[in-house]
Amino acid sequence: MDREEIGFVPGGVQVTVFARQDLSRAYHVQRDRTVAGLGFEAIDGTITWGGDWVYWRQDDLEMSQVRASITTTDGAVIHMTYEVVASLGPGGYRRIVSEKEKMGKSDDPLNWPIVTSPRFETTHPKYRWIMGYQCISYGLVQIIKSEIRRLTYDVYAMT
Amino acid sequence: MNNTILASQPPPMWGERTSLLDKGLKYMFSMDLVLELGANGIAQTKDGLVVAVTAPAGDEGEKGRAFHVLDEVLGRTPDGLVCNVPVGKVTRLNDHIVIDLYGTASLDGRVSLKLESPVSIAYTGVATFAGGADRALAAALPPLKPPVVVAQGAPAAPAPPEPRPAFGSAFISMRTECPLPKYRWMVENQLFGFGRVHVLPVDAGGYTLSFSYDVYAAGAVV
Repeated sequence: MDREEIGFVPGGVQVTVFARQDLSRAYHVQRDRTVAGLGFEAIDGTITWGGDWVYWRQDDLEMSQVRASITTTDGAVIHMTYEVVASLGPGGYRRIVSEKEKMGKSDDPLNWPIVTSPRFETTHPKYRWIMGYQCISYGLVQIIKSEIRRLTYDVYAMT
Repeated sequence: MNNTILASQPPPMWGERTSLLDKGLKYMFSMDLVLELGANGIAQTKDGLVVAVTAPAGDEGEKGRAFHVLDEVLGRTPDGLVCNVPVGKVTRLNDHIVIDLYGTASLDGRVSLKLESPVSIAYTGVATFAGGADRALAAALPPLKPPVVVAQGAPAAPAPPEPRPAFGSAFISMRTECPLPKYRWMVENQLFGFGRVHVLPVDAGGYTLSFSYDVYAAGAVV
């Protein structure tokens, strides 16, 4: 992931993290063509653009806003948006902004669990079904030297 | 989440995985919300049909409440943290519902809860009605019109179709802000509401939208 530091802003620190183009994927872990239980077409494609506007608050909370575009293998474009609330743990903000005690090492990265609530938008009729669902995603963020290196999620539709 | 997440965990399979990550959902509390829709609360915009609804005027208890279905006072988040269940009345409430061209009703609401200190909840989500929100609501509920003064002796307008209640499901994700450490878990955790919506006509004109949610905290299971 590419990182752009905005720096100190009122109440915390702002950082923007961008997905590396065409290196991120959306897929079904069992490689199914349909979503079990719903019968809709599963999403398989590449994340062509994505950004995470991260705000680390002084009260040890991370508030993020994420926008991403998925281009499926059959050419549909699906936009994804979500917000993240995550606890940085006691003293987490200080650890992130200070030069000492950075989180995660190259040989022992920190894998941080996160939960998000994505919504999707598309005009493609094959994937329009996803617009009608509020989703939950369970993910892991890999952090090395207090920097987000990569992340992975499983997305579930709330029914 | 608690401090246990700071410990390094076994590395996941990065790249394309073939198995799912750990997941957990724990019931925390429930929330009833009552909203009123008047004739001036609907507008057609480029995004679709926009419905602005607010809590009815009156006592705080009539606007909704937060409670635990088993009257428990303590709950436990998926990562094992024991926490206080919020129990109180809704003091302020509004929702901005957009029904788009495909019949999806998107919710965007704000709730103020009266606990030991005020708690502010912002939620977004989706309400689904069988057959699409636009069609289901149009079939069940006649369109609202502002009252029209009819001149004496003029022929009476045909009676509008009898409204019927409409039922749907609602799913929301919530963000909370609260200064009290007791409810800090609500600020730190991603909360989701699984609920039902019941749309009923009221005698005075307009509709009542009753939402009832069970709120769950989501997180990795420890």
